[in-house]
Amino acid sequence: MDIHLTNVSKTYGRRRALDPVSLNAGHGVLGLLGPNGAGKTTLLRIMATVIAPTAGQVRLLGHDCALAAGRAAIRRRLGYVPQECGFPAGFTGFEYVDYVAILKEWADRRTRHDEVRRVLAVMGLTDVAGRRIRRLSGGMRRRLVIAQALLGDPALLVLDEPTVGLDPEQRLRFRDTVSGLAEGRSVVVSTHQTEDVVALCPRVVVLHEGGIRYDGSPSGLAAMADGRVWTAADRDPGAVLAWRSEGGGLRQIGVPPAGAEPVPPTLEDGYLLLVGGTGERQEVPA
Amino acid sequence: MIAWHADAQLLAAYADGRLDLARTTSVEQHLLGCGTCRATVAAVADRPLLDRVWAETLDVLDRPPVSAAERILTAVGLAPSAARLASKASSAQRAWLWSCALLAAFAIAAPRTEGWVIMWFLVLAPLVPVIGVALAYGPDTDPMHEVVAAAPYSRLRLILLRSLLVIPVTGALVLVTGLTVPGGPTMSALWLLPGLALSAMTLALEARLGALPVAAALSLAWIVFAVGTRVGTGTVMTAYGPAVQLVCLTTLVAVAAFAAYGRHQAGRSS
Amino acid sequence: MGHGVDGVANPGATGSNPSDPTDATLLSAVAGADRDAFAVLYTRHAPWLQVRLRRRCGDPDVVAEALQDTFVAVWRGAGRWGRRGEVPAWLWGIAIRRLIDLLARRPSHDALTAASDPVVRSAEEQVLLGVEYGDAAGALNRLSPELQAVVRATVLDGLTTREAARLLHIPQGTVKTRMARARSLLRQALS
Repeated sequence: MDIHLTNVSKTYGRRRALDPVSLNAGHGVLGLLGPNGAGKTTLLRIMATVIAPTAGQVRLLGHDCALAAGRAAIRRRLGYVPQECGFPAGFTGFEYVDYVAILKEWADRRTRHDEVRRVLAVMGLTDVAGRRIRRLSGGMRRRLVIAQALLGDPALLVLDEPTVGLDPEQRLRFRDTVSGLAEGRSVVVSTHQTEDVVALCPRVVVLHEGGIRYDGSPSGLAAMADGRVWTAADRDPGAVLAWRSEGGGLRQIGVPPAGAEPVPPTLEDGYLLLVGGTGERQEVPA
Repeated sequence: MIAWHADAQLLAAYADGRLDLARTTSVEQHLLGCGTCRATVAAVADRPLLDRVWAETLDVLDRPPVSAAERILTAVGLAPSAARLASKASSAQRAWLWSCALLAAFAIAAPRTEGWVIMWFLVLAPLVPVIGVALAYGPDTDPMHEVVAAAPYSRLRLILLRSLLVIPVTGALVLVTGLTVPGGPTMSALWLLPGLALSAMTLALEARLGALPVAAALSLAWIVFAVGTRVGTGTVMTAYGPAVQLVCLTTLVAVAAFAAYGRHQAGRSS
Repeated sequence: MGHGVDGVANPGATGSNPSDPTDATLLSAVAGADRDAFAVLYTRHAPWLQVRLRRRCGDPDVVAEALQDTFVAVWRGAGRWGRRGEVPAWLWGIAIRRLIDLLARRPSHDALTAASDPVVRSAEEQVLLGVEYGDAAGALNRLSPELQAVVRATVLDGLTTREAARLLHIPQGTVKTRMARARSLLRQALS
């Protein structure tokens, strides 16, 4: 088991960002779903050793995060993609990844450059690596940040909304890359794209208002909305959420009125039901 | 007519240098125009050399250009990778560099008789290294801070490397004050110790409280102190009196000892 | 090659198949920073360039450096080809000049002169050479090694007198004299 979080909480002054949560995870991809402000980024920052929890124990890859030596050991085998990532002014893509590689203790230039080339090739950025970052598209910049996370073949990958800004084709390629990487590694991905979770994650955790509301398989999450999803022409007062679905009519979740015919629930339905009306509805499925 | 292609033996002889000039000429002219024969001669080319050259070529193409600052740092003995970390200034640091240049220009250009100009220069000069150090690390000034924080490189080492540029800038400022401020070189040396003490305190406290808040608080405290002594005793030089120098020196030593102790402890627990 | 260059293009993409990209196409792609095209160009041309350079300089490290400089120059200057003449000739022009630059920096070098051992030729070769050069082939081979070197440098490699002088480490005047001598000898032999 690579990830052990025991009663981990985080408080900023008066505001509690994360309730005491406990989470154990091993190899494979773990999906973290939740609306904005649910505490996903806080949790991932703790997992990436970027911030320390206010309380609780964090053990990653067999090391204790409370010790400086433990953190250093974890960071040597960690790849992190933050939600917002800036770039130093005037850097090219290659220089950026090279800089991070130095921070990951690749002191020898030749081996370091070979490794930089390797991760750039994995993310399909070889041809644009020589370009200044400010001249790269948003999708390419995102891929650049993912590339730096792959340096050194990390055992633990923490990805905070990595597919934001990627077009559907790039998202597909990203899913392929991550599925391939999950072999023999622990990957934690936070997202609010439920399709990513369905495609990628054998296990999903739903975070809401700082607490874990669900921890299990995607099909189990969908099953939570069993019998609670129906379509009708008009919005029913018992519906918690309603939106226009393909084929006309309103797809609604909540307490179905008598006579309404329930439709098979998707993972998204289960998720939305769980987070109540505060869940974010991304777009109508095409 | 059927196109003529050189057979493998002829090409092997050519590659070995066993052909006379006329036939070498013939083969080489032919190769310029025939892709098939070029492929055939590839079989007798030096494979390991070709692989090596390819790797070297890629390396040259990808190599980020080495800046002058990096060359200087490497020349004085810093490892090339450390030199790289030290020489990439963030935009905040560049802004700081420009303000230092402005400050120096101001000191040079301002008329010597204007006491308040000199006074303000002296009040602000110790803050130059403080701010320089504060800009070296942290979410407020580093656009890729989170990625940096998640990397194993020693934080202290990184801050020190990135603050390296504070040294020449401070030195240049010392030179400027030595040349332009009445009182000469002794004057410029006087503000150095308080500046160093404040910087050291910034370094010591930034881990817990964040670089910019600490730097801001210390800067404010220093300004209040300096202006206060000016108001109280009529000259800002009291702020640089021997008592103050002693306090600064003690602070420096204390911070250094504390840091060394902390590292010793950390070394023990790993 | 260690970085998978061998497998990048299919083995037959020598440019001799009509369906393979032409060298001109590859060069335009390289001008647009296309790494794959660059790799194909390298697979196609680096081998023969290496062999030909080897015939000019015995030191493999110098040859390697010249080859590397050549391809770095190709990457950076692919846009400058401008469709003058054929790509292989252009590449060789770059390569030989890089070699000259490197050799000029070295006090002594092991530049190969033309081999002069007569080798038994196959009947086919004799016929073909006769078609191409006629008796000039024999005349050429009978020139002394110094004259052959000058002829090779100026005629075969297309160098200017100055460049030939740098390659052979002789004064420019000597290059001119030797060329004149070679020309008159060949004219005598052919008449």
